[in-house]
Amino acid sequence: MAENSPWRLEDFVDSLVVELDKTRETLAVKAINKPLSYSVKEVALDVNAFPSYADGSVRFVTAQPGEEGASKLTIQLNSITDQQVRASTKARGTAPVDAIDPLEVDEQTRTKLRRIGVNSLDDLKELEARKVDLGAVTDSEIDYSQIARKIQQSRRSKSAPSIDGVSLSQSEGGPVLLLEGRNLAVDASFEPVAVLNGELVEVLSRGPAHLSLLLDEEHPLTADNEVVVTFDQFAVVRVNVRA
Amino acid sequence: MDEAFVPLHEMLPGLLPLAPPIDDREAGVRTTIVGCEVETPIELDLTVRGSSIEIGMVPPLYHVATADLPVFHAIRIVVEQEPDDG
Repeated sequence: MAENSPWRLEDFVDSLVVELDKTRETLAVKAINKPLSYSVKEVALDVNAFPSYADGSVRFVTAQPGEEGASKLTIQLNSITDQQVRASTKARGTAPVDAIDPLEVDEQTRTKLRRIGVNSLDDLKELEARKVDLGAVTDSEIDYSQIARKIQQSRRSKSAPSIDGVSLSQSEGGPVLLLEGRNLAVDASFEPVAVLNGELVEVLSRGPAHLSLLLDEEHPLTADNEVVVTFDQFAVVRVNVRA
Repeated sequence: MDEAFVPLHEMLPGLLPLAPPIDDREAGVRTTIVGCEVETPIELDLTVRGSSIEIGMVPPLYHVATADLPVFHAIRIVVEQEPDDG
């Protein structure tokens, strides 16, 4: 028999649920070739184990032969219909769930987030928008808004802005500097800010592939120009333009 | 997982006595199982792999009274016929 390692209750329940899902799938396959189909309504499992507390979490060791005084854990799983799931689940749009990547947040933090029902970046944003003080609720030192920003920063670095070309044209309002590239203004909620040679310039239009700036006639382009654009809170680009 | 144990999802369907309908044409009676509830002692083998746990189980392996008896856990599963099957 393998080493009797300690385990966490939530990991055990997670694994139990996975096993039950597979059981349901097996029963569903059996139903294809049989006139009747059955569904699992309830599963209860009694486990004899010894609890212990170490490193801030409770773990259990399964009782072995000859060991007395074990605690009995009774885990009871009931089933509900998909309609009940829909009725008791928060509404989601048709967009895919923006799940938190294991590379973005460490396992311990992900576990803490999962315990309070946070599985995606949208969940974090929603809690932040509602000004929920999760630190007080969960008695945890985790700054959830900081995690959300960290995730966004990580994702922005994977799709960093790049400028492929700069051109100058004339419009009715004055000269327009057009920056073209990829992953430029991708955050619709953030208004890009542009500075030309230390002077703020107006952003005429923006998009993932372009940004057009209306230049001030009092501050025209010189021989060497520095354009600094803040596309969002995680993307700042500096471009040197020679007229 | 110890070779004497079987993954939970393989063992559970095997515990369920879900037989096809029984037809008695002479009596004109058809009998179907509409549900069952199985409760049994089991032996467990838990293998921890990071945050996932392989759950192996098996009904009591031996029926011999030994000095140190195995630890018997228990499982109960309730299965019902799907309503659409009438």
